[in-house]
Order: sequence, then C-alpha cells, then structure tokens
Amino acid sequence: MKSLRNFLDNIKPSFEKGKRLHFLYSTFEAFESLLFVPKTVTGGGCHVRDAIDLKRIMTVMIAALTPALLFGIWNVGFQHYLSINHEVDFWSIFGYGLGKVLPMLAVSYIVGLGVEFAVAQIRGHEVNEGFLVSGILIPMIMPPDLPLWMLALATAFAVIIGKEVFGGTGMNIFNPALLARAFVFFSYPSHISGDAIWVSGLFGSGEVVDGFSGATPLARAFAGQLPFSAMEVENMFWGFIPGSVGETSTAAILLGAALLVFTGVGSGRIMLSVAAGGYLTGMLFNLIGANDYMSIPAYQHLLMGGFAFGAAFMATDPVTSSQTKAGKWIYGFLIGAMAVTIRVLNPAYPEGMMLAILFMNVFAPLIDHCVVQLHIRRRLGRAKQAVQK
Amino acid sequence: MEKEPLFSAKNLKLLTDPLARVNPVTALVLGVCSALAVTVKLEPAVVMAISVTAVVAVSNVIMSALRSTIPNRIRIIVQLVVVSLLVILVDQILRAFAYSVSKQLSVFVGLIITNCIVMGRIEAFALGNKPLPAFIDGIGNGLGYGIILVTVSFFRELLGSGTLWGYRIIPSSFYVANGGVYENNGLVILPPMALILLGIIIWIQNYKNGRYS
Amino acid sequence: MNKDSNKYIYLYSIALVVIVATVLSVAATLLKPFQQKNIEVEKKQSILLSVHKAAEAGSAKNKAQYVEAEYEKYITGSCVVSVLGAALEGDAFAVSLEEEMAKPVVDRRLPVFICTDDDSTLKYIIPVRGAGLWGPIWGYVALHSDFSTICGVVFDHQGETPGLGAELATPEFQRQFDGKHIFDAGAVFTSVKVVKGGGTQGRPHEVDAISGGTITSQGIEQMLWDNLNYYRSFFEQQEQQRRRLARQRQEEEEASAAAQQAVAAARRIPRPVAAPLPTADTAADHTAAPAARAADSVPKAEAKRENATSDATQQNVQQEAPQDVQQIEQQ
Repeated sequence: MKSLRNFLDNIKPSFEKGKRLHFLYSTFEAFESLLFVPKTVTGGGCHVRDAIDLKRIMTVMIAALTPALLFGIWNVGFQHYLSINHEVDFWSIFGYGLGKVLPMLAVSYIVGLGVEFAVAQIRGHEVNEGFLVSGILIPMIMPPDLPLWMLALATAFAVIIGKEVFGGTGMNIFNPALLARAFVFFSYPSHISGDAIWVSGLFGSGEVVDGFSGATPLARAFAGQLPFSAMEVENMFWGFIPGSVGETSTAAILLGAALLVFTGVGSGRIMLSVAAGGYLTGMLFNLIGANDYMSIPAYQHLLMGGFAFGAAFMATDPVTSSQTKAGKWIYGFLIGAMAVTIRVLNPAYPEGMMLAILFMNVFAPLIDHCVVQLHIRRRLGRAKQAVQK
Repeated sequence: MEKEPLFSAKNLKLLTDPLARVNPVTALVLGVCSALAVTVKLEPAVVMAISVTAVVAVSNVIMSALRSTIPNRIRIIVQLVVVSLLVILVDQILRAFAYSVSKQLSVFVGLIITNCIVMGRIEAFALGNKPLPAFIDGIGNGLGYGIILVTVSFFRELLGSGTLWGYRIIPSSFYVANGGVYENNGLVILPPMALILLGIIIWIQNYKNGRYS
Repeated sequence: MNKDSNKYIYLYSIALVVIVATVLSVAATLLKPFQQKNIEVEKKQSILLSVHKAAEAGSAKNKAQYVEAEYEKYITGSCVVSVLGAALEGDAFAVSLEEEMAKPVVDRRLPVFICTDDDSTLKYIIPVRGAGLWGPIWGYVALHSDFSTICGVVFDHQGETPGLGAELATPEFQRQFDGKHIFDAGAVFTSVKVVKGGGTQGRPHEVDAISGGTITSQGIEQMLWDNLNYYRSFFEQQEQQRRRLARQRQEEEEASAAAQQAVAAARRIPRPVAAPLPTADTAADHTAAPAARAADSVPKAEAKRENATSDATQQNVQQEAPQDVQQIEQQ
C-alpha cells in the first residue's frame, strides 16, 4: 500500500494546473480517490461527521446485488442446458453463465464509465461514481443473449441522455438502468420481447428439445396459461425460471434487500409500499375476476417478472425516488399498483414494472412538493391556533 | 422611402438569418410538432418542408399586400382564413399529384395551419413590411424549417429503416434476418426520439454559438 | 371608408369568404378526377399484388398507366355477393369494406375480383379487413380456382408497431401464405392459422406468427377466419356451377366424339384423333352461352373465359385445318 501511495504522490504534480497532463486531471483524481480515502479535511465551522460517503453507498449496493447476480449467472447456464437437455455439472453451468454475463458487464462498464470520464474531462470536474451501480444493474435487467452492440448503445443512451444532459450524477430524473432497458425495448423490440429470448441459445437456431418453451411465467400468465402449480410457484420464488439475468430469484433479491434496509442505504418504506401496492391491486383484480389473469393469487405478482427486482433496487434509487417519508409511501404504492395494472389490463405489454417506475420517476418531485405543501399548511394551521390561544 | 434593390444586403439577411442564427425550429422553437411527425422518412420531410415554405411565403405576401385594408378587430380571423385557403390547396394538390407521399403525411398537411411558424411570421413581419421583404422572409423561414426537417429525417430514416429516400443504404445482408448482426433501430421511428434528436441539434447549435462557455 | 367601422368589417368579411370559397371550389373540382384516379390506382395495385402481378409498379415510368394496364389484362371480372352466395347488384370495386363491416352480416355486400392468369387459370381475390393491436388492418387474399389454395396475400395497416405488428406489410411475411390451404382434405374450413412455428414444413394451414407481435398475429388470424368464412356459400355455389358445366361439357364431348367417329368411319378419311375436340368445344360454346346469359353475372366470367378459350381453340382449328390439308396433300 505504501509503495502505491508513494507512486501516486510522485506522479500527482504532473496533473496539476498548468502542467503537462492537466487535461487528464479528472481521470487521475477518480482513480486516486477509488484507491485511497481523500486526504482533504474540513476547515472552520461545525460539521456533522458520518462514516458514509457516495463511494461506500455504492459499495453496499453492489454487495446487495451480488447474491442476485451470482444466482443469475448460474441460472443463465441452467436454463440453457435445460433447453437442450444436457446434464452437466455445476461448474459448467456457472461457466456458461459467466461467459454470457461477464462480457455484458464489461461492455456496460467500459461504455458507461468511458462516457462519464469523457464528460468529466470536457466539463473540467471530477468523475462521479454514480455509474458504478448502474453499470452492474444494466446487464442484470437485460436478456442473456442481447447483442453486445445493442447493450453498448443502450448504456451510452442512458448515460448521455439520461444523466449527463441533466447535469450528471444526482441530477437525473429517470433511473438510468431502466432507461437503458427502455431504449432496447423500443429500439429492438424483437430482442427483448417474446418467448425466444429469455433462455440463452433459444433465439435463432439451437438444438432445443421438443416441447421446451422459453416462456417466462409472466409470458404464460399473459397468454392465459394459468393457474400455476405449487411447484411452479416454488420455482418462481427460488428463481429457476427464464428471465432477465438478475431478476428471477426472489430469494436472492430479498437477501440483498435486507442488507440495504439494515444499512439504511435502501429505503425500506419504498420496498414495502411497492409490495403493498402490487399486492392490494392484485387483490382488487381478484375481486373483479373477469379473466384468468385477474384471478391469479395476488402474491404471485410479487414473484413474477421484474417486480421484486424493481421494488428492491430500482424504485429505491435515492436520486429518482421521492425524498420525503410520506412521499415514499405514496410513490412506492403507486409503482406497485401501476405495474400490476399494466400487466393485467394492457394487451400489448406483458411486463409493467419498468414502465411503472419510469412513470413514477416523473411524478416523484410532484409528490414531494404536495407533501411539503401539506406539511407547511398544517404547521401554519397549528401556528395560527397557538397564536389565537 | 426609397425602394430596396432586389438583392440588397438587407433582403439577403432576411433570407439567411432564419437558416441558422434565428432558425425558427431550433432558436425560436416553433413548428416542432410537425417536425417530429413527418420526419420518419426523408421524402415526406422534404415535401412537407416545400409545402410549409410555400404556405409561409405566399401567405406572407398576401397578408403584406392586404395589410393596409385589414380591420384590426378581425385581424387574426383573416389570417386564419388566408392560411387555411393555402393549406387546403396544398393538401388537394398533393393528393392529386403525389398520392403516396400525401398518404404518409396524412393529417399533417392539414395541420400546417397550426404550425406556429406560419402565423408567427405573419404577425411578426408580414403585417409590418412590404410584400417583397415579406416574401423573402417567408422563404427564409421555410428553408430554415426545411433544413432542420431534412437533418432529423436523414438520421431517422438511415437509423430506423436503413434507407435514404427509399434507396437501401445499409445492405440487406447485414440484417439479423439475413444472417447478419444488425437491426434497424425502432426507437428513432417513434416521435420521442425525434424530439431528443431535435434537442441534440439545439444542443450542438448552442454550443457552437458559445452559449455554454 | 373607416377601416374599423362595423359596415366595413362586414363587407370585408363577406368579400373574403366569397373569394376564398370560390377559389377552393374551383380547385377541388379541377383536382378531383386526379385524386379519384390515385385512390383507384392504389386499390388496383393492391389487388394485383395479391396475385403477384404489377410487381414493377415502383420502377414503372408511368405508374398509373402500368397498373391500369395490368389490371385490364388480368382482372377479368368482379361481382358482389351476399353471405349466402346470392349475386347482388353493384360494382365490386366501389364497395367499401369499412362501411360493410358496420352492417349486420346478412346485409353485407361482399366483393370478389376474378383474375385470369397468364396460364388461363382463374384466381379469386377477396378483400379482408380486421383489427390489429393499435388500429385496423386490411388486405386482399387471392385464391386459386379450387377455392382452397392461396395464391398470395397483401396486407396493410394503420398504426401497428414498426418491427413488430407492422411486419405484416412486408413481402417476407406475406410470402408465407403462398400455397397454404384454407380447406383441409375433407373440405372442412380451417382458414390459415397464424401461430408460432407455423412456418415449418408440412403445415398447409399455418403460417409463422410475427415474432413479438402476438396480438397483431391473432388479429390477422381472426380477420382471415371471419372474412373468408363469409364467402363459403359463394365458394360452394361456384364449385357446383363448375361441376355442372364440366359434366355438360363432358357429355357433349362424348356425344360429338361418337358422332365424329361415325362420320370418319363413313368417309374413311384418316383424321388425327385430336381434331374433334375443338369442334366439340365450339358446340358446347353455342349451348353454354345462352344458358350463361340467362343466369347471373358470375357465369358471365366463366362464359367469357370459355369465349376466350374457344376463341383460342377456334384459332387452333383454323391452324389445324391447314395442317390436315397439308397432310392430305402429302399423302
């Protein structure tokens, strides 16, 4: 460590203002603060000290995502070998998944960070670490066989149009990872909808066994092939189903969600209210019961598709969600309600979570504004009463 | 007041200003809706640009010629009637002589009257100037609008269909369906992406004009 | 006159309105024939495309002329029928399917277009209309004269998603329908299903659904089922008519063949056996034509075709006669 610190101290002067490599200052600063805690200290005045900073928040989030990611990598291989009916050992399965997911992660990080670094250089400020989490999220919500160039385009779109145009990390309105998925959804719809793309190797050719359907539970519900058997519901919980890379295992997601709530990095309020919104809307549809889809038990909505993943990791993004406590309840509830509504009622979209979250991202500031106004009015009312007394 | 010669510097400025510096779409942000709708392919965009230019220029001339006779109380109504007349004429002519393009443009030709550039230029310029400068101003604004339309539709058709003016640019063998790896981008065909493209053009233009330094 | 006085405003408005209305009416009247023509040419092109004609319309110098010429050449008849198969009055080309769909089924006027191909076979072109995901879809289905094999289809839409539902308008999707059957071997109506995997070999009643465009594919399937179903009575009547005419012709052939052999035996002139056929046809033509004229409009197409073929065979007779003479002279 000492030698690394010395090395950095030696080359630091060449990045100062006026020196030869100043145009690369942001890049240098980014790597330095990644490796070591910055030596800058506060001066004068009172400060509240906290152990947590942006980098540590990002690290906790990545740790929380790791169970879902690892399971997802394994599941990609598992579904693939299931489709061609090969019996292989654990490491072959995991290796296959790694071979699919690692390139996606690499592309996502290289493109995203590349854009972030370039923008920071042009604008002359430090690189923000905001992309560290988005970079891991983007591959986890994509189908395993997505062509890498589409992923690269989507990431570039999400970072440039979704974040940098608005001012960078912390200024974006929309969740960047979901923007990337939305980009692929509308640009290359045949690569992200339908039954052939959720299992690796199914799209195009492949020696698929007869009778194997690559349909996710969500697609089957959408097509009316209900109800689900008990074993299918179990599979949906543990995650042995086709789907995007990271979203299948509700169990793994719950582990990550617990970590987020315990550390205070992710808002438990939002997660609970999203689940509540989805569950209650599911029950409402049960009451209406006009078709098979409406009658599926409400809790199954929480297990299908990207609902759990979105609730735990996307809706809780601190930048794009509501900031006030009451606002978080409302925001989360509406996300859950809208996601289930889109799933059941809309004839064109089987999955509603992405659209619900993006839509509520737009309304989050409005919700906050209303909540704050309500508080102000209530305090004013109380103050008036106190004066009258 | 002396007559301005036809190609004086002042008249030339009327023609060139709206092309870039005071472009009606990117600087004044007028006429954006039709710019989104008709720019899916290059051909309808060009036809639309020509139609709008014709309407703006001719309506400018007519309103300028009539400017001393129009009662102030019905000024806007008179503008509406004159512009509607021209728009309906354009629509009928397109349907008679360029049917396939008119089908792609469908209702948007009729909506030229809602294009803010038309009434905007009448109010801002034609009613206070002679017919000839008004005509040149109309042509200039129409061309400025046209340039933006052509730029946006160039990218939208190229990226969204792989063609330009109907001629295939990206070879069919590149496509996934034919064994390749490329796919047309379906998002650029939708209006939201057109708006984003427009925003990027405005971004570049502002950057060039030094708005961000 | 004061510009802002009421009187002036009234007079001005009236003058403006009168002038504008005149200009517009004149323009509309002058341009109407061109506009009508364009709409007609477009419709004709669609009809022709379903039987794989008029393929060069895009590159033709005068598209309207080209399409009109192809239409004249190939579309030799049309009729309007009710859902029970009865012939109705009217011009099939002028029927608007959109309007007809709003009526109850029994009142609908169903148009049929009849095409005579280069090889003299008949094709029947049926307009179809249905609902896609975001809006209406429509097109034309062309059937061979067995009323079961599809010659070709043409589809169009108003607002389907490009890359998904809008694929129905691509030649690749439409080509799938060529050669599929809408009746199975037992003459049961199956229409054509649009399902996943339908494109694999050996499925005469299925085509591949659009990947990612499930609702649109279902819409196409429903559209084909509904629309083709309405014409089943018409198909049956046509089949019966054809069988009747074929039987008639066969009987006449046998009769005249026997007569010819008797004559030949009497004259003892060697004649090639093939020669009697043309005369039998012309004989049938004499009996068939009056019968056809008495019946409704559809057999007119049949008679027209028979006239066409008998014209051709009469030419054959004329050609063969000199050959006979030559043969006799050689002998």
